[in-house]
Amino acid sequence: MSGPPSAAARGGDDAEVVARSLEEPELFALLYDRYAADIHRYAARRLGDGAADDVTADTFLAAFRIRSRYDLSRANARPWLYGIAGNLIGKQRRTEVRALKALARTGRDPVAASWGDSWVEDTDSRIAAQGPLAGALAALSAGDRNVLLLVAWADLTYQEVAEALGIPVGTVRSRLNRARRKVRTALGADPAFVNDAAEVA
Amino acid sequence: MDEMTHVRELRAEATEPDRGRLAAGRTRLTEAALAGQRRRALWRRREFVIVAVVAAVTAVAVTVTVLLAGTTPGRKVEPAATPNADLRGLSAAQLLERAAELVEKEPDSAVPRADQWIYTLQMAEAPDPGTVKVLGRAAIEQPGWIRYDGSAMASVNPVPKGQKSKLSVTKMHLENGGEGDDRSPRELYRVLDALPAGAEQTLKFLREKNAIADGKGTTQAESDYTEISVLLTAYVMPSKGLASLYRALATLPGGKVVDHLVKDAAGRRVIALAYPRDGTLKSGESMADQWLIDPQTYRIVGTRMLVDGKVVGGQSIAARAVVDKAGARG
Repeated sequence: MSGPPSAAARGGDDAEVVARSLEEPELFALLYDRYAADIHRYAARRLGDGAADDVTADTFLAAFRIRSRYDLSRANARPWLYGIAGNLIGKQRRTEVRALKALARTGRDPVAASWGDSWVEDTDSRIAAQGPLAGALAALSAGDRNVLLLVAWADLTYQEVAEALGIPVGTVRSRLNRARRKVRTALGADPAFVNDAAEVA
Repeated sequence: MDEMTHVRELRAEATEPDRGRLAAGRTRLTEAALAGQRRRALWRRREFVIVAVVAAVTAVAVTVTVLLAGTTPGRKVEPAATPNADLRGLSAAQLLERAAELVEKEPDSAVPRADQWIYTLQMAEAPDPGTVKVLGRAAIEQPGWIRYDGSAMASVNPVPKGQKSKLSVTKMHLENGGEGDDRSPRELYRVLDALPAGAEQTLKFLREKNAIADGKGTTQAESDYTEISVLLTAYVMPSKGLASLYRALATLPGGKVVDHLVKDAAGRRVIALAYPRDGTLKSGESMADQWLIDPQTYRIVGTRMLVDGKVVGGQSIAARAVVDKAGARG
C-alpha cells in the first residue's frame, strides 16, 4: 500500500521481504534501502545528528535479529522499524530531555544546531513558540513522548503506533491525549481543556 | 494553530541523510546477514517455521479455553443439530442477502443518550503467547468503554497476573474529525442511519460522502470494502443500515463463506465470511479478513485476520451493552 512504487518489482512487500530473508538473510537489506533514510531523519530530529547514524544502524540490526517474530500480516514494515527506533531512542532519554530543556531555557536548540549547514537559525517569533513547547515535551513521560512524536514526526496512524509499540490502540489514544493536553496547556490554550485534565487525573 | 501543528513544526527542517551517510550502517547490516547466511543450514526449510507458528497458535487456543473455563461472560451458543449443512455451497452474496433480510426486520434498540457509554468485552483471537504468559487473562479479555458522543474512552489497563487492575478514563474529541480518521459511535450511527436501501444506492452514498475512511485501495472495490469494513464495526447499528451494508458488501468480489461454523475466541460457533486482502504475498501466502457472524442473529460478533488460512489476530465481541457510566458492564 505504501512504500516506493518500485517496491513490488524489487522483491515484494515488506512482509514478503522479511519472510524471504529467513532463508536469504541478505534480502533484509532491501528494507534498509527502503526506510533507513526515514529512520535516520527521525533519529536526527529527536537526538541530533551525532546519534542518528548509530540509532539507524542499531535499529536495522535489531530488526534483523528479531525478524522471525515479525507479524507477516503487516505488509508495511515502517511502523515496526519506527517502534524499534523509538525504543532505542528512549534509551537516550536524558540526552533528549537535556536538549529539549536547553531549547526551552535558552531558545537555542542543540539538536537543530547539530545538523550543521542544513539548518538555518529560527526567527525570534518561532523561538518564542518553541520554548514552552520544548519544555512541555521534556516534561512528558518517555512513553507519552514516544507516542506523540511517532504520530507527529513519523506520521504513523494510531493503529500503526499500536503495532509499532505492541500496545492496544486504546493505550495509544490515551497516551496521545495526555501528551496533547500537556502540550496544549503549556502553550497556554483553551482553559476549558485544562479543567478536563483535572477531572481525568 | 493547534498543538499538533506546533509539534509538527518543531525541528521540521531536519533533512534526510545522503546515501554516503547511510552506507556504514548498511554494511553493518549486510555483515550480520552474511553471518546469518552461514548459519542457514540450521534454519531448515521455511515451512518448518510456519509449522512452528501454527503449533504456537494451537497452544494458545488451548490456553484460552483453560483460562476462560467457567468464567466466560458471554452466553454459550449450542451448535444447531446440523450446523454445517446449510453453509455448504452458500455464496457470500447469498449469505449476506439472508442476513440482510433477517436483520432489517428487527426493531432497533433505543439510541443511546450522548452521555451513555458503550461497553464492549473483546476476546483476543490468537494472542501473543508471551503476553499471555505475563498478563494471563488480561491479555485475552479486553473490556472497554466509549462514550456515545465520543468524548471519552475508558479501559482497564492490563497488569501482570495477581495485581489489581484499574479503570483509566481518557477524554477524547472524536467528533468532527477531532481525532483524525476516528469517529464517535454517534457519528457512525448517523452514517448508518442515513444509508439508503439497496446495494447500489448504498455504494453510491458511501462513495459520495466518503464519510468514514479515505479509500486506501487502488480499485473502486477495495475503497468500497474499506469504507464498508469501518461501518461494520460500528458500536451501535440501526437494523436497516446494517442490512444496506450487507447488501452493498454482497456486490463486492472475493467474499467466501467458510463451509462450517468456526469457534471464536469467546467460545461460540459462528459463521466466518472471508475477504482476501490486497497485498497477498508472492511466496504464496495469502492474507484475508474474516467477519464472524452470529448464526442466529446474523450480526457481526468479531473479526479475524488470517495468513494462509491460519488465524494470526483479531477480536471476538463477547459482550456489548449500553451503560450509564464507565466501568459498568450492563
